Amino acid sequence: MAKKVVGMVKLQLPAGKATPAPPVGPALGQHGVNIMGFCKEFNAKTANQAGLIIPVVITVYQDRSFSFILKTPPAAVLLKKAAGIESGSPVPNKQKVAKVPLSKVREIAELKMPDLNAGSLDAAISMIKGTARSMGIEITE
Amino acid sequence: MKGKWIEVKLITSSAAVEPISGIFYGLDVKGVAIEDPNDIINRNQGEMSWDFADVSILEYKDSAAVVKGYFSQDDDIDKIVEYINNKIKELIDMGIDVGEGKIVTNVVFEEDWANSWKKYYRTTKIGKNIVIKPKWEEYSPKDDEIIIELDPGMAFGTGTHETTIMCIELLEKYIKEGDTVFDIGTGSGILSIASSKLKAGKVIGVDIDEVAVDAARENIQYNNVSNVKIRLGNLTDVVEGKADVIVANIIADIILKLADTIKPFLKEGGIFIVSGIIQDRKQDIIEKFNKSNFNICDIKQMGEWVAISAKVN
Repeated sequence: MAKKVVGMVKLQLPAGKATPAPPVGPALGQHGVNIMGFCKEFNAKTANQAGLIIPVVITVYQDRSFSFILKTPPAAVLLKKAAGIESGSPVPNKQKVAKVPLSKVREIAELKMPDLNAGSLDAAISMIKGTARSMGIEITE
Repeated sequence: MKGKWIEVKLITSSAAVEPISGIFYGLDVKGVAIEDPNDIINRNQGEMSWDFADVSILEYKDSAAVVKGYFSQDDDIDKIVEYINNKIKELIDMGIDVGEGKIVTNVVFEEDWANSWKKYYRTTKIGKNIVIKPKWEEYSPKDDEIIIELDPGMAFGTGTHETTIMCIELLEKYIKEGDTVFDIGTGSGILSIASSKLKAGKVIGVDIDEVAVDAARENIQYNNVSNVKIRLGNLTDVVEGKADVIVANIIADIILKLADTIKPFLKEGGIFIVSGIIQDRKQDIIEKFNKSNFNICDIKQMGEWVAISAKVN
């Protein structure tokens, strides 16, 4: 007898700091998950990555039990780290705030490949490039 | 966190989920929620899979991905929507397929999500004799069962979590009539109430979270346990005296710190019960306890969680 999945949601949350406030509360409450139960498990598993945003895919089963898988940090967060900047450009088309070499973009794409829903590494690289451009980060060869 | 929030939902494509969540991080959000049909489509599953998921569980099926951010009702939502719209235009100019790229805003009420999971929460027997009963259910106790009535609200401790169950089992084993018990990180108050019902003479529960302190105080009233006091703050700041039993169901890092500071609060021969330890951290706690001159009495494990009890050497 298969365990039927009734909900699947991906959240991006600060490591070790999940609280019942949004986005956790609304995302899990609608599926009948014990919200604090999730926060406690997430915080226990991510406490050692403090300061990073961690995506987590939560699967909710028919009996309202749940499981979750932690993923790699979002591309925007990794790019900011690679570029050594706090935030992206307010006008990314006109004003570039940092440069990141293509080799680094490739590295991020490889790291994120399993989580990106990209068909190939090239597709993953173009997703990372798109994210970089939208933040005003210039990619150098 | 009380009240209402504004949900800003962006209907987009799987390919644009990363840059769109990047837009939200340009605003002051505490995190985003994503529904991406590819997460389901790309799973390894067949008819015989243990857990089977279908895109029909998603609001937009396989036609779109959704990224949601949440803002306070005091934020200027029109301005936020305008900012996001401009950012979407930039993404389109850069040749990124943003799908529909439509923004929908909704008001969401905390009471809706705070209560929706309750309908799945049922009376459960844990430990030897303790029965945890949600406040809204009827139950007649059998033999010498001890009933704890709970409305955990959004604080931790519904009684169904492995760590809570293990703590209750250890409390049943060690509490003697008239004992003083300190409960660190009391959450819903469940372990403090259990201690009192196991005939402890005096119980003090502490928590640094106001939501928990409120929930715990309410639960104490439902259970008519007058010898339990709940205080807001750190144990070392708000509690004086010594206990026969101290229980801390928190997380490994906090327990490591407590191992250094807890001894002045334990009577000679007193017992320290800790849980909330994920199995990867079990060894860290054991080593720390050995180094800090604790004598480990029990090591319990349920699922991925560990509970340990120890005495001072």
